[in-house]
Amino acid sequence: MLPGKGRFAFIALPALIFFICLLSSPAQAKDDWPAPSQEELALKDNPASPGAHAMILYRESTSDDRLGVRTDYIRIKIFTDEGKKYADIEIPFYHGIESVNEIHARTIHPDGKVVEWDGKVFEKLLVKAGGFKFQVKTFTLPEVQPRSIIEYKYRIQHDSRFISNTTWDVQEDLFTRRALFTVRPNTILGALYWRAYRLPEGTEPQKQKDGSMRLEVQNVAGLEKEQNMPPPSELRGRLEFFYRDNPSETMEEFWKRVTKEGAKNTDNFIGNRSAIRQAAVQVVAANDVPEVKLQKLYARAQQVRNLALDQGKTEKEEKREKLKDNDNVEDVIKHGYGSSPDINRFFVALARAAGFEADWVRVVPRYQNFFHPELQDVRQLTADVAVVRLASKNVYLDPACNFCPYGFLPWYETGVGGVRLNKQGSELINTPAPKSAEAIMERKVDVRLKADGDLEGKWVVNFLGQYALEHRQDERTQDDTGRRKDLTEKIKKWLPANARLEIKNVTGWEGSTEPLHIEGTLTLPEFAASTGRRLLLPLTVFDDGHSVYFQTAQRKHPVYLLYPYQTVDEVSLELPEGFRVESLPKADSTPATSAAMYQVSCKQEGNQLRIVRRAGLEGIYFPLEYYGALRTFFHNMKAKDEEKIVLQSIQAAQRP
Amino acid sequence: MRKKLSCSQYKPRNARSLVLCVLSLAWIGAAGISRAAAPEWLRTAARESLPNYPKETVAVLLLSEQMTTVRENGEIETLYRRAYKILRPEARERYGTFAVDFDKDTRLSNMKAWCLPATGNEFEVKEKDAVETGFSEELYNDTHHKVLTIPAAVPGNVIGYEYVQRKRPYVLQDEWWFQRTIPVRRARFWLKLPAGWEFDSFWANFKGPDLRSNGENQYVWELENIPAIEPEPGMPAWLALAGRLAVKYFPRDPSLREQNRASWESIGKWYAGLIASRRDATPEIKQKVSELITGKTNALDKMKVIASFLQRQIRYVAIEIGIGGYQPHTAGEVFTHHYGDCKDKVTLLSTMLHEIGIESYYVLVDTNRGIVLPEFPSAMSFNHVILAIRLPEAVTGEGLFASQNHPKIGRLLFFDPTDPYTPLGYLPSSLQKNYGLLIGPEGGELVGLPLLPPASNRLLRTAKLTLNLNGTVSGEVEEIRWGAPAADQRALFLRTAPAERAKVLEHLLGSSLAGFALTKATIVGLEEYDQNLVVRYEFVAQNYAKTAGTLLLIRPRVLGNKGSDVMEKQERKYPVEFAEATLHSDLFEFTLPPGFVVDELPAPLKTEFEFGKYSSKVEARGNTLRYERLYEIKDVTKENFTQLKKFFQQIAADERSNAILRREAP
Repeated sequence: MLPGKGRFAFIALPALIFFICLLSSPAQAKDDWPAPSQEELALKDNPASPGAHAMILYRESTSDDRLGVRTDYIRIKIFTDEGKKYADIEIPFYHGIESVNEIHARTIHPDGKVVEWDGKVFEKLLVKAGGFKFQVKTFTLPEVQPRSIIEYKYRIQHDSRFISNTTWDVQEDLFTRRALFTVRPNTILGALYWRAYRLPEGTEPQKQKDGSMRLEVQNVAGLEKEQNMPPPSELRGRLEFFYRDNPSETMEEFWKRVTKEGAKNTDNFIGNRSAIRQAAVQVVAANDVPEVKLQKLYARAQQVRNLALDQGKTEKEEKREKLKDNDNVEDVIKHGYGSSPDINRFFVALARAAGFEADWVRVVPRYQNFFHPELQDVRQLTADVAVVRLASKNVYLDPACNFCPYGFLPWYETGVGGVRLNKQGSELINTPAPKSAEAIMERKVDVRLKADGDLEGKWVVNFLGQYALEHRQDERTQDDTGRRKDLTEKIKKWLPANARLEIKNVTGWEGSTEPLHIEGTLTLPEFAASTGRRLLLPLTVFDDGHSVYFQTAQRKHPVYLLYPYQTVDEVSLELPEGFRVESLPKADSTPATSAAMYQVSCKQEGNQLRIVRRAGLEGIYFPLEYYGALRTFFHNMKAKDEEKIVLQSIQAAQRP
Repeated sequence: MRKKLSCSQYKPRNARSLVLCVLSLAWIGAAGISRAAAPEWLRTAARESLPNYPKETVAVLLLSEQMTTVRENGEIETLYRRAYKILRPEARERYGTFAVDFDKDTRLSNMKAWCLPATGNEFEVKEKDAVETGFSEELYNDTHHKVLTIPAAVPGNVIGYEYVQRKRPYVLQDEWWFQRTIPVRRARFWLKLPAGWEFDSFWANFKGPDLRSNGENQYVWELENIPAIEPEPGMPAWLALAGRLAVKYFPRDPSLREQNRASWESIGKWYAGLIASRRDATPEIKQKVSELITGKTNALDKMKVIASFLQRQIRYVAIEIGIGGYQPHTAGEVFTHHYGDCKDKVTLLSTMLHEIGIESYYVLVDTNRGIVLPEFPSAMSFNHVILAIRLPEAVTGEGLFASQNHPKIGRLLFFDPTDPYTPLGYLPSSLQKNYGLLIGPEGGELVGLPLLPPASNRLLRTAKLTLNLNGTVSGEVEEIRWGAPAADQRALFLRTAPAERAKVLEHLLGSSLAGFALTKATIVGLEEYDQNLVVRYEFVAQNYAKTAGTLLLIRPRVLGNKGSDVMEKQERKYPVEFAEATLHSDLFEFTLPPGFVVDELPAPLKTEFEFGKYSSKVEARGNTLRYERLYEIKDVTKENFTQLKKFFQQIAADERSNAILRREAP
């Protein structure tokens, strides 16, 4: 469904603009449709990119920031039955802030016959709460068939007291053959700037004689979704506009300017306060080495109750607690609670009081987006960490993050950009990139194989680093029963469907540095396939689970993982009586320099088999050109994992 | 519970995130703390002594109460009350937020909720604190929902809410669904009727208690300690298992009383009234019929072309306002727009068939088996409409599996024009062995819908493969499907953009193979829904056969998984329901690499139960290995879990079995 789009980042508009809005823009006439060409009518597929359900033949979006008006026109060619869904149109709008009107639509058959739309529009309420009302205008087009052309247009009038920053989503989910965008700036707001993302080289808007900006693009591929892809906003070709007062300001100057106030506020919040100095003295000993001091201060900051963890609470519950805001770090001590920024700034204050060079850092978390400083938009910076100078290194820490151990950042704050707020103003920084050694999963199995092929025994799983942090955070609000159920479901996914699994013990839920340790028992009925004289069993007990992401040969986008990882499996398998090893898979390993690591070995020690397997990926972002190599790696790994241990019945072998 | 005939299950459910968004917004309560004044009914419920529940139990429904007052004018006012004791954290998400429907015919009032924390200090929230949404999967539906979140729905606390719905229903019936996925400590249903009115009641899936009179024409049913129905994989529809009480009310006026008697016949008459004059053919419809049947000489071909027109050229779009949830648009409107919902499509199809001299009848159905109960006629049992087409005697064509004889009308062919991929002659799986209310000329008649034979839902897979010395398997596969497997596969391919369809095949192969490359693929009959769907492809799978010393181990079952997760549990409470009766067969031939001979082959397997059978065998013929198997499900429901488990365990073991080849000594 192609909605009418807008990014609603409202900024107050001077009252002067109000009277301008009283001027009405020329209404679009119902019958001023551009005539479809014979070629458009005859199209059976997209010649530039065959095999889609539909394509956008033409889009035109015209904004006038002086009037707060945008008109959109879209013409779509339908190719398949599935593509008919594009004939159901929804135009979202905020009731009371904007209005959608002058909606016109029609269907054109391949023979050129025009079927007029009956004009029936439904207003569907999506959400109404606390004076806020979000609705859609919805309608559908008649007689839509494969090869039909549908087209519609409408006008959105924003409330004159607000204006939305214009964003041109040049790349839609559907292929766009041609699109024209125009924005007429409101010079009262300053000079209009723009930033282009993922657009072909040289694609940029042109300033027109009347002051408007205009961009025409052709043959823009549709944005398709794939598993393990970067955030769609990082891939979608778009142009973002914004107003600035000072046209000559550089990006660096912008960040210094806009963060100056933030740095000052931060300094005021932190200050140089006696209560903080006392708190720091209480925590550290004079003879502690710097790193121990820092660890103790970190532990102290982590004791502060993070109000962000109360997310499930309703407003009434919060109000009943009568929580007061923290105006400074002393309030954090006094109240014993704070927001994530409060806690991290409290930690910075403690560190400074203990003699460290420490600053507060605003960052863009990876679960949201990547940092684009050139966009000159402070709203990107929605998370925060602390940075402390220790010896000659900067150590990034996030004590506000529940269960996050010292020396560690949660995955979404690793390898991200941000702004360090210091006395000099600000500095653009990047947090350290994540490493596979920071996310390790150990799986140990001690099992006995029975002559009928059943496998039974004990197992242990240790989650370390990011794995442990992620589990602890995900299960934070769960009780023991819920946690065991979730863990059981997770571990069962590594095993054949008929596996019987019981968790006997779990430790480490409440800590942050120790592994999350799970142990239990396991029965795998008919794990080894009996052939009569032999038992065949796969080399690995646990499935790796990653190869499923690499089944398709073609891929459109880079592979993007949350964090690099290592898996270490150790299996100790007791052989059944009456069987001897006939054949074991050979050891295998990837080159040490490879970003993708795999090693496996299987050895016989008496009546035991010892299988050791290590696998992992170093890196989180794999450009498209590496997809083939990555796919081959996972396919080869899966094939190796499926190699068979062959046991022979001694009795059968002795038969003549 | 309100049901409409809108069949939204055919719409892609891609907007759940929006619903979640709405629910999450419901956390935003209105500002200000009102002093809580929890009602006595909630305090009483909170004091209930509770039996020991399994530790997995997330909450217990302490009280579920429904108080229905029927007024002389047919208006019904119902007070709903619920009280929960929260036992585990995940209950907050499931029970801490509730939603109530309303529309222009159903007024909502007195919506309130409370929390009685174990530590005291109660909370109260009211209707003004609720979030309102009109979100629906239809293009438009006039039903709105108020969503309210109750504070502090955490373990140890008791929460409760009540609201009143006032409506004048189209049918004088009510349903009380008292069983849940959590245990219910106490459930009560009150009924207050005007003097002289009568009622009829029916218990489904539950043995109800004796009726208590509670004053003049006032009645109450009360249940205690109702067990939870916990979801199990493969179980029938949850609603088909849950206990419910259905009640019909009969006015004092004898004529109205008869009208509301709610026999299947009278429900049919009521619906016949709604569809009267909806099937008038306009000149445009007549012209279209004439155009469609040009060149078609027999009735079946004409029926097929019209049915296909409805399936493919009338787009599914649901717009429901008031009675529009039950009453179709006129055939003329549907044809003009070329869109409509299930009842609209049935209306136009029936109209067009009439133009070629073929009569047809609306059939009201529920898309879940077990909801429609023959013993209790109810207009609230249906959520979908299909068509029964009276087959002319001349129509004797094969492949009309979904037909059966009706003693008065003759041979009827059931057809669902809303299902885009199930052609004339077949019936969507969920409707088979189900019930439908046939809206005939003399009213309604409940009829059983046919279960199509296994051979009508067929997958025939053959492969010619070559195994080389290093274990690589390559070759070509042909899969021929008809019936339900064809409809399912078509849906999968057609919903995917043509350029991406190879990926569908790769994902399917990926469930059986590691390290494969799809080298060629063609699909035949994808757009011809009444033809077999034939998929031919070629692949190379490196390291498929595993080398072990001088042995080469190969799993003959290269493709296709018949395994089922019903094996996972040690025991289960509910039957397993299969989608349809079906018959699948695989025939794979491997050319073996030179120098290898067969050392060991898996033993043949043959197993048969009342509900299904399975057989497989591997044979060596010269340098060829031949694997053959057959999988048949004969019926759709099976209660004997022991048999079922054994059946699938044998299949799973067979699917893992290997043939062992040995390198011959030089």
